[in-house]
Parts: sequence; structure tokens; C-alpha cells
Amino acid sequence: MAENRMIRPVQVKLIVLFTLGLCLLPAVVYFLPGYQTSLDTLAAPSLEHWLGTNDIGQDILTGLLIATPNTIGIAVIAALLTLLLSIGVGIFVATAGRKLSGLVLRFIDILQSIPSILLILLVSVWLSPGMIALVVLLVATGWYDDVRVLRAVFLRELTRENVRYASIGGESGYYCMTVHVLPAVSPVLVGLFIQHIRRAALMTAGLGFLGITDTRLVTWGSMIQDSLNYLYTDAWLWLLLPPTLVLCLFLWGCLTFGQRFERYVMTGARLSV
Amino acid sequence: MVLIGFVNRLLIFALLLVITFYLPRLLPGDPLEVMVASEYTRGLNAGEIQQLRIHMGFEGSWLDQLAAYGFGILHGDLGYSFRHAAPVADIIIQPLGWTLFLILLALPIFLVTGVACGIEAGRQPHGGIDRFLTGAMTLLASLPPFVMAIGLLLVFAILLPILPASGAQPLFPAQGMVAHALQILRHALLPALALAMHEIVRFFFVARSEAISLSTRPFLLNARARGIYGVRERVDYYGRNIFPAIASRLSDAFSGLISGALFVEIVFSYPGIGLVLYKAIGERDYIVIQSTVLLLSVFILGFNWIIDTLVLLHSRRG
Amino acid sequence: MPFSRRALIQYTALWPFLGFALSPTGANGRANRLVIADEGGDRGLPAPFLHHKDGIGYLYTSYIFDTLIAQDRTGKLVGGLARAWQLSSDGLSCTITLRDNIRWHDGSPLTAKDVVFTVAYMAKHPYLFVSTVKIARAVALSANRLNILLREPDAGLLSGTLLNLPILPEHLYAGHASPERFTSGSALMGSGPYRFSGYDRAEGRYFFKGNTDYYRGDPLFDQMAIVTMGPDAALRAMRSGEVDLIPFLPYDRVTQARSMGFQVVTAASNHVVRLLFNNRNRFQDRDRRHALAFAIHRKALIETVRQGEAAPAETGFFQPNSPWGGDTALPPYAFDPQQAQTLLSKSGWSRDQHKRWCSDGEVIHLTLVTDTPLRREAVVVSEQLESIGLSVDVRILERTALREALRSGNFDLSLLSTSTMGDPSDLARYLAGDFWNGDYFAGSREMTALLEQQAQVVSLHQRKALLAKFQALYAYELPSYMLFNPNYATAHNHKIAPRFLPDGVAIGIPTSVHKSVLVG
Repeated sequence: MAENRMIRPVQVKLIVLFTLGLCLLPAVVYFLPGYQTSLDTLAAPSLEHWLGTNDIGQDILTGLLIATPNTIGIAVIAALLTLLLSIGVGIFVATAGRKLSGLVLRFIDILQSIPSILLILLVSVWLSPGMIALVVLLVATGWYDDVRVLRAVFLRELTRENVRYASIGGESGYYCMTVHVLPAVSPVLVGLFIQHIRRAALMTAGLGFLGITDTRLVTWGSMIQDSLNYLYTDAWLWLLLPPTLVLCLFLWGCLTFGQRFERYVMTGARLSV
Repeated sequence: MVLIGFVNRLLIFALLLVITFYLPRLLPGDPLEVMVASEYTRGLNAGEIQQLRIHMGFEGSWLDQLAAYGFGILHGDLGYSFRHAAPVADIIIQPLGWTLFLILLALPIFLVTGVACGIEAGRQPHGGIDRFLTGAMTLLASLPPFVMAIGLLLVFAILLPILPASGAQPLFPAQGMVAHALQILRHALLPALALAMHEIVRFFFVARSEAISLSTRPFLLNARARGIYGVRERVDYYGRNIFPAIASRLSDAFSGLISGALFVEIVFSYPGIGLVLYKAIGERDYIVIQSTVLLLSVFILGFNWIIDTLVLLHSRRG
Repeated sequence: MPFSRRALIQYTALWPFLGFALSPTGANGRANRLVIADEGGDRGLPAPFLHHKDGIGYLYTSYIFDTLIAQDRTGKLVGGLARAWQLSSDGLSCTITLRDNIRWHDGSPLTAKDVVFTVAYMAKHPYLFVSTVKIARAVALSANRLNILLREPDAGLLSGTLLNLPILPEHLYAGHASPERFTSGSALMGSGPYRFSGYDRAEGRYFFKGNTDYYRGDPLFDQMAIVTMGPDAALRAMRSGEVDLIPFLPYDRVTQARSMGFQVVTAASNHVVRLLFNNRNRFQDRDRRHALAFAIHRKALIETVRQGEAAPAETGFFQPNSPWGGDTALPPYAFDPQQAQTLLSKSGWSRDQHKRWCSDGEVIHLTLVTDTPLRREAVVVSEQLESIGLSVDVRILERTALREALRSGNFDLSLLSTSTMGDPSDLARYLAGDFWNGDYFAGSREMTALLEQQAQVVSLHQRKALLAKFQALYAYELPSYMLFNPNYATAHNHKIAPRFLPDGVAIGIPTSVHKSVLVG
């Protein structure tokens, strides 16, 4: 039972492999024939095109190889920045005076009740965001959800004895943070990080699907969007399925890893590599 | 507490009013020119453009326009869309009805399925049923709403054409009220299902974790000892005690439902508010964008205020 | 809690049912009902000041509102509300005789006063599809005769203004200071072959009834509905007999429609996809424009993005079958990368050691702007240009941003889809004037002069000669390179025989459902 709930070495290795693979993908793409159009339009999978071609003769497999680092890259970077921002605000709120932190929290309350999809939609139509704008947008609409959680965690950690002693002992705030507080809250941070990756991937795919991201940015969502016109023909098999499967698999991976990580933290089991 | 919640939301509303007003105006291009330009319209001369500008309320500074807009809203006037040549209220009221109809149809599906599965799983945590259900729900949670919608469309409307693929009613609805209502239900079934799927997961996990903690409570052990099983155990003992947690989650579910509806309506060409908003954004119909976003946020804010208040009152009563 | 929820359900569930009132009850009229499935959806209320500002909105409106001059099934100008017209020899006045016994849909007679009113009303409330600026005023001579007085001779008076100008009923429109807000049923009262009978904006559905009093023959259908439907759903509905006509069938569904047993008419749309050069900047040099034309393989482009369902376009402005283009043979700019490179070198560009084109030692990056419908074409064109060593950055812009880019000149190349049909009186503004999707081309005085002249000459023969000269010059100067002329297809069943008109419907709309095919 208990073993079942832990993160097993195999999984960690898988994740490491996965990450390595991602980093190598751009290199692979460089050696591929390129995401070129051809006269071979809507071709079914064959030896030449393993996953077939789309309506302007671009190779689906190449498309996927380009879209994967794009989508995941955006998700990871956006998640990282979101977390950094919310940590910053979380620490600020936990350490600032009552009035100031009350004000910030009130502001966050307001932000939280704005339906963010509507805002994202409005802004993206305006920007037709490429990679950078997309990350900014995701960070801007994601950071405030964590501040309350992080504030509670930091308050708890900052009032612990080891931190107080260190503080009284003349250590700098930075030292206290990095040596005592951050390691203690890291499980929470990792949990939030995974959640954010998932959210960002979902949003990126969603906006790509709506066709309002920069069209030069190939993402899983934009590939799915391209396939919609062919649902009534057989071509959906190779146009729709590959990007959809990869997207769902990635989201599923984030979710199960997150769940396992949570259990690992709760049961206090060790994470062995 | 109730009042603070209300004031908070009023503040948000005012903020949104300003944002929805200004954001579209930051878009490049002149709305009047967008409206009058197509491959077929002739070029207007400067005098004619000025004439139109005055007609259509694009005259004056942004601040004047904002004031006029806010003033209108206070009087219940959402404005007039010249692109559609109709009051905005006329444009969005019927689609809003369709969207709410979808949501109301989805509501019982996800509540009943999600909570029932959650209770079932939480009754015996880590048992066979729990592992199966949790696995299935995790899988379901990994399908974005548009993937779910496309999947349902593909399977039930295209590969096995047993349900309609688009629209909210047949081209020529049946004569009788009952027959027509049935047709409308048939058209709404797939979109509502797609909408419900995503929320099922949310409520499953809430119900499950609540049920797990209930499972160890003495009164339940006691009840089981007295031989209370089956439906009564699940509804009276679990269901009743899980209710507040479910109700409070319902308040953020609404916002998720609205954004889900956007994707679902696009996939199924369902004539709801999401589709209106999507088209209005493409057409740069500022006044429709503003009013739709505002109206939707009023719905979302109002709905979660009501739910929060109810939960608060409920908890006070004990 | 059940208290409030039940009430809420009952109340909101009623909204969708509001749509009921508009649905027609058509069980008995089935044999004589035409259902048109269009993907585009809502086009606004079909009245001159209310419809959306696109060609199809105008087309729907034309079913309800008639014009003085009309087109017959072949596109030839014939009498509409007017029985006869006589242009004075100086071209400054036109005497029009109306038909007898023409009536508005509400039964009141349509007289010369209505026409006079329309001209005056449109002067005050500019209509986006027809310009009345050249008309000084109209004077009623009797109940069915009137005189139209012009400020200057207008070559496009008959085939433009009078063909396109919907006549408004004075007794209903008079006194409405803001026609954009006049949306009651009387705003939709015209004199055309069909009457307005219902509209559902949310679902994009229109319902018309045949006008049994129509003066040019009986409408073929008692009822006509236009519904919003994607092509695949429409084909299915057509098989089950719910839909009779799909006016814009995508090119890749033609074979399927034929194999399902439907008739399909196709025609060159003359709605051409063109490559616009920035004639104000990098591409002022004609050699460079020619070079790019030689570098583009139009046949391959058509094969890739249209699976062959298009023809390489005529390189002049007008396309084959146009009444305006004449029949001079024009240079085809057949694919010739060698020639392209020679011309680019001649224009002062050179290649660096990586074979990239440079200007004054700096690598040239061309920006190609377009909007979503042409994104696939843009990708292929950019790849073709890159294969001769030009670096091209494709930017798909939202429509407003695209307008801004074109207007401000902040681009190098642009892909646009342009109608080449309809009366050409405005072409001068298209070539060198302020049309947002025009050519912005000031490089040829001769062309501008030709266009200005042709808009004023009274003799049709002379006008055609001037335009034929312009056509040849256009192909030589190449302000835009006309890439291909897509075929449009209409699927239909036996109830109706749609056909495309050589110069489009009225203002140049490439549709096969002109109102003449709806009347017996």
C-alpha cells in the first residue's frame, strides 16, 4: 500500500529522461526536413510521413516535434514566473504590516473574482500573443491565486523557533529565507508549480484552439484547431488524434505526478533517486 | 460579512466597467472604420465619415464615451450596436438564455455523478472502487473542455450520427410544444454533457475527500453498526454532511462553467453567449464585447455572492 | 435551498423558447419552400441601413429591396423598377420612366416621389454600398417619371449607381433621422420579389415569403429560409431533404457533393487572391515586382492550398469574362527563378556568401502581412520566396491591425482577397487613392489618368477601350500580382438552378443566388 503511494525511482528517472528529451527536441527538429509545405496534402500516415500530412502538406510528426517544446516550454516558464511572483507577494504580505497586507489581500480578492478567461480572451485578441506575450499573460492572471496559501505557509514558517533564533542571532533576512524557510516550504512550492504547469499548458492549448495566438507559434492547441475542418473526413485520424493524445498525456502526467507528490509529502516517505 | 461581500463585488464591477470599456479601445484601428470596411463598401469621404461618427456615438473623448456608457448602464441601457443595428440587450438576451439552459442542464449531471462517485470512492478510501474511480477521474481531468467537446461531437454526431452536431434546435422545429421541447433537449444533450464532464471531476474530488474524513467519524461507524447501508447511508449520512462543502465549491464552478461554455459552444456552434462574445471580438463590436463581459461577470459575481451568503447562513445555523 | 433554485430554473428555461415565435410553420408548404444553408451566419437585418457591411448582407437585402435597373439571369442590365431610361448627350441628366402598377410590400404604390426621396435621403445618410455624391438631385416629373441631375458625367451611373441603389419607401422612411436605429418591421418593407417574414439573430436564420404581387414574374417559392450551417452539416441536411442549396460549398467538398447525387455549379469567382507589393517603399522599383512575380510558382501554390480548384489569375486587374477587361493577351510571369534573380540583381540587391539577398550590405527581411483566411497561402508563398534566398517573415494580423499596416505602409508584401467585379468607376481610388485594401500605387500617371477618364466618359465603347488599355498597363506595372482566381461552387437540388454572373451581382458579389434565379 504505502509503496504504491510513493514516488518510485523509476518515475523520477522517467521525468529526468522526459526533460532531457525535451531539451534535445529542438536539435532533432533542426535535422528534420523542416515543417515545409508540399504538394502531398492530407496524406495518410506512410513510411515517408509517419503521421501523415496536413492540409498544406506539412508533416504532422514534425509539427508535433515543434509544438511540444513550444507548449511545454511556455507552460514551464509561465509556471516558474507565476510562482516566483506569488512567492514574492506572499513573503511581502506575510512580513508587511497589518494595514498594508490587508490592502494587498483585498486587492487580490478583487482580482480573484474577475473571470480570468474573459480577460485573457480580451487581451489576446488584441495582442495575438507569441511566446513571450503568452507567458506574460499567463503569469499576470495566475499569480494571485496562490498568495493566500503562501502567506499562511510563510507565516507558519517565519514564526518557527529556528527562524526566530537565526534572526535574533543576527542572520540576514535573505539567509533566513534561503536556509530555513524555503526548504521547509518547498513541498508546497513544488505542488503549486505542477498545478501551474498544468494550467498554463491548458490555457496555451485553449488559446491556440481558439486561434488567437500568433499563428507562427505551432502549439498542440493550434494543431487541434487545424484539424477541425476535417472531422467529417478520415483525415481526423492523423490530424486530430496525435496532438490531442500528446496534450492529454501531458496533462495526465502533470496530474498524476502532482497527486503522487502530495501523497509523498503527506506520508513523509522519502524520495529516492 | 454579507455586506462586505456585496461591497467587494460592487467594487469589482466598477473596475470591470472601466477595464471592459478601455481595453477594447486600446486595440489598434478605428472601430468605425472596421465597421464600414469590406471588400464591397465604397470608400467614404471625410464628411461622410464624420456624419457616421456622430450618428454612432463614436464622437467625443473616451472619457465622454465612458460617462455616457456608465450612465446608460445605471439606467439599464446596455447600449446600441451599430454593427448589428440592434440594442445590445436584444443581441445578448437570447444567447444568454441558451447558455444558462446548457448550464442548468449540465448542473444535475455533474452534481449527481460527481458527488455520487465521490461518496462511493470516499466510503472505502484506497479500496478497489476508489482506485478505479480516482484513476478514471484523473484521466477525465486530463481532457481539456474542447477536447471533450470534439470527442463527443466526433463519436455521437459524426461517426455514429445519432445526435445533432450543431445548433440549438432543428431547422424546422416540430409543431407541438412537447415535441419541440424534446428536440431542443436532444440538441443540448451533447454540449451539456461536454460541459458537465469537466465539472464532474471537480466535484468528485471534493466529495471524495469530504467522504474520506467522514468515514472515520463515530456517527458513521455507529450508523453502520446499526445496519444502515445502501442509499440511506449515502444520501442521509454522507450526502447531508458533504452538502456545505459542495455548495461552497459551486460558487467558483460557475466561472469555470462559463469559460467551458465558450469552448463547447464554438465546437457545437451552439447559439449561446460564448459564441456571441467570440464573434464580437472578431468583429471588434466594442459595445457587445463590453456588455457581454460585464453581464457575464455580474452573473458570476452575483452567483458566487449568493452561494457564499447561503453557505454562511447555513453554517451559522449550525 | 430548493426554494430559489426551482424558480430560477423555470424562469431561465423560458428564454430559449422565445425563439419559437419566429420559427415558420411550414408543414404544408414543404414542396414550395427553399432552404439555403450558409456558413457565414448572421448578416444583420436585411434592410439597407441595417445589414452587416459585407456583400452577403447586401445580397439578402436585395431580395427585399429592388433597384431602378436590374440584372437578368446572364447579368445583362435590364429594367428593374424603371421601365426605360434615357441619358442626355452631355451625360448630365437621366430621365427615368417607372413601370406602372409597382407596389410596396404593404400595398401602397411606388412612385417617382419615392425615388426622389431615396436620392435625397441617401445624400443625408450615406449608404456604404452606393455613393450618390455625383447626383446633384432628382426631380419628379410625374407619378412615374423623374429626372436625375448629375454634378459631372458619371460613366457608372447605370451599371453602378442605379443598379445598386435600393429604393426606399418615402411613407415609411421619411422622418427617421437615424436609419441605423430604425429597426421595426416597416424598415424592412421593400418592393422586391420576397418579403421579410422572420429573423433569428442568435441562430442566424432568415425567413422570407414570396411576394405574389411582384412585377417581374412570380417568385418561385412561397417560403424561403436562409440558415446558418457548416458545409458538412449542410450536405447531410441536404441528403435528408432539409436543405436545398449550399451557395458557398468549399472547394474540397465538391467531389463529395457530386458523389452524393447533388448538382454542383462552379465558376471562377473573380474574387482574386493577390500579392500586394509595398509600392510606396521597397517595391517602388518595377523590376523588383517583376522579380517576385517570376519567383512565385502559381501552379504549385494552387495545387497545395486549393488542390487545383483555382486557375492562375489574369495578371491585369480584370479577370476573364469580365465585361471590362478587353481581350489583349497579358504577360503570364511563368515561374522562372533565374529571371527573378537576374531582375533582383538589376534592381540593386545582391547576395551574400550565405546566398541571402542584401541591400547595401544588410540582409533583407521581407514582412508579409495577411489575415487568417489566407494564412495557408501566406506560408506557401513565403516558402517559395525563401527558396530563391529572400527571407520572409509571415505575420497573420487581425483585420484591424492589417488595415493599419496597409494604410501606414508598415509592410513589404501582403496577401489579400479582392473582388474584381462590379462597376469600375471607383478604380482610380483603388489604384492610388485611399481604399484600405487598394494598391497605393502612384507610379504611373498614365494609369491614373485612364481611370479618371473612364469614370466620366459617356460612351460605353470608349470606356471599354480605356479600361482595356488600363488592363494591359496593370499587367505590366504590376502594382499587385494577381495570384489565383479560386473557383466557387454551389451545390443544389432540382428545386432551383443557381448560376454565377460574369460581373457578379450588383456591386460585384460573387454569388450564384442572384434574385433572378429565385423568380419564375
